[in-house]
Amino acid sequence: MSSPIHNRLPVLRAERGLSRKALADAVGVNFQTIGYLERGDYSPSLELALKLSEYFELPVEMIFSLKPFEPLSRIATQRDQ
Amino acid sequence: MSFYLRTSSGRVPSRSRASMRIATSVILAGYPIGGLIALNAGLAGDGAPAFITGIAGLAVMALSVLTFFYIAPSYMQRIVGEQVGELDDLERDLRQKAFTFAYQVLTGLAAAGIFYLAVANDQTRLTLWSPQSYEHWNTIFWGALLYSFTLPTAYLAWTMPDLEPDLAEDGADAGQISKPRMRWWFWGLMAAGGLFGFLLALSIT
Repeated sequence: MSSPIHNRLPVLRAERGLSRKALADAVGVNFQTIGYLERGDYSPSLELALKLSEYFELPVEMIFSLKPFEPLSRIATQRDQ
Repeated sequence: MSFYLRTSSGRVPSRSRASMRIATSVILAGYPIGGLIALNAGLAGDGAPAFITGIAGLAVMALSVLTFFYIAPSYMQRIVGEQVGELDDLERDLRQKAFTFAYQVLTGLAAAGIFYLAVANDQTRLTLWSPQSYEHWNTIFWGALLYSFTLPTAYLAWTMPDLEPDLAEDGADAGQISKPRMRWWFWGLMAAGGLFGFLLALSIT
């Protein structure tokens, strides 16, 4: 069984004030696919991962990871220290 | 093989996972039960009891077929029945899984059925019932068709997470999916095939 792929899609979407529908339309998928991705119910194909990466103008590894992402608050605290 | 009923507005009606589970179970269980009752109505006796049993069996079969039209325009049925080019990669992935499951079940049922027919027609060992009349084979044909349409959807209904919270969050227009263009060549080919078959049957008889 393949390992789950963690993602930052909800955070990125909230940052940009996007609905699932708007993001889905931008990358050419059904809005429910975005919902499944965010909940970790589905791992994206390479094509979809690259499309999302291009859309958010971020490297793929900043959106998807095999390990859980560190909370942003912790990253910010570490940076301040 | 599957079937998807597009609505005229292009909107995909909302169906909860629970309702899809109930509907697919009613279809898959109802048709064979109704068929068995209808085809064995004669066992209830002569006259009115046989007639009433036959009607009851047909009613259960009709309920099963009508229930299919509840799931036919659903999102899950869209995944298994829509043109592949209209689906995104998650939907294509789900469709492949659903078809794999349905293939395993249908081939298992076909193998079991053929084995049963082989045993039932071996007069030297057992005397078992086997389908003989047009009525019997007609019931089996429509049952096989209904199963091939419903099994992939039943798989999705029992394995996909519920979608309702997502629908509510993203607004009522979220269920709108663009309608693909009508495939006139496909329906033309179907009509031509039907006409050719009809003329062939007419010339033979």
